[in-house]
Amino acid sequence: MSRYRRRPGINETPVEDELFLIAGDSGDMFHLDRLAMSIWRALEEPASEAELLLLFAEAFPETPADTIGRDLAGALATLLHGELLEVCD
Amino acid sequence: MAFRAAKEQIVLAGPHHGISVEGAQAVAPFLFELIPQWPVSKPRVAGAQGSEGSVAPGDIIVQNKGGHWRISSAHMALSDYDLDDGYMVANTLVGALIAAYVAQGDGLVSIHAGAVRIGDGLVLLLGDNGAGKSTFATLLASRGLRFFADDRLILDLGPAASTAAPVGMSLAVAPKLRLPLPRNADARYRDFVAEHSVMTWPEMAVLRPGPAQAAGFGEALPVRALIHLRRGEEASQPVLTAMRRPDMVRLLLEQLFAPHLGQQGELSACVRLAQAVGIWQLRYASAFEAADTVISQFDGRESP
Repeated sequence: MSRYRRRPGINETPVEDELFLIAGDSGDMFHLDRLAMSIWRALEEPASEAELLLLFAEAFPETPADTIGRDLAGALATLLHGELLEVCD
Repeated sequence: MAFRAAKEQIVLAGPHHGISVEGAQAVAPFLFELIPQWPVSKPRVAGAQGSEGSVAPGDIIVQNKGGHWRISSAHMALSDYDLDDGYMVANTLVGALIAAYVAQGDGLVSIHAGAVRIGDGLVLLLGDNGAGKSTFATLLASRGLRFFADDRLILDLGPAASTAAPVGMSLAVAPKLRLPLPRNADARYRDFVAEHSVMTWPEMAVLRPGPAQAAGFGEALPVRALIHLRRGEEASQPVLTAMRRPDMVRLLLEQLFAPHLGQQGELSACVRLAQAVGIWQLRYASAFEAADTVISQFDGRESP
């Protein structure tokens, strides 16, 4: 299964519990809500979607797994589309 | 190198040196109705080798081709001969002048906002076009609050490490209002608009409030609050609520203008501004009902 990691050269600016990112090469700016920021933080070390799902399921035991899975897949797709993440293996 | 004669340029004061504009003579009457107090400066002489009276090339170039105009500047995206009347050229030129002005100062940015003095500082009114910034700012001026801007204000953020409230500075740009005025505009407001109108078209009026009502060029005060104006018919009563800081930063990223700082610098400026002052959201249907809500929230209170 593919593992993801943060792309290098991205500057972070936290504002309370959310995060603004600027890609160093393009200058594009992104705003991450709490879920996307949690994924970004979790990907300080490369991880697969399954590993992230496990992590978030442990962190939010009261939330149904399929809800977490759906939200996680959506946020990952957004981060990949913004070229904030890359596939590392 | 060929230098143009000084008489072809209009040179306006910047924080450190003059801002020269070439080719704007034809729209100068409109321009000086919009920025009646902006000091005119001396042309910059182009080096020791320049002949007497020669000046450096313009910071802003205004060109006319077949009745269509464009404005180019290092500090603003080029318009492409899509301006076709003198007022629009002058209004776009004011934007280019403001961009050139803030580019001269390390901590200067411009912001798309109305501003009035309430209590001991400025309350800024933010929102998209049509949100009601001009109506709100001039309405508050008609109620006796000191007018600073209806659309464009300079902010001095100070040194990068400063956490002090930014200072807002008026350029005494003439406020503009859509006509006809709202149906529920009261007589006091209608009188204020009529008294201070200097240019009117069927769809718009340009005002020039007097020195008793409006800040002069360079008049400055600390910013004490930002209000995001959210106009909608569903707001039966005006409601002023505290706003989340990340949401205000996102709004400021659309309204704050500082291309000379780069993306990271603009973001840092937005974060500093959102963290230094009170941030609010006003949901309202009519500015004439909501003005008292804003005044009573801020008037007579010291900034935190």
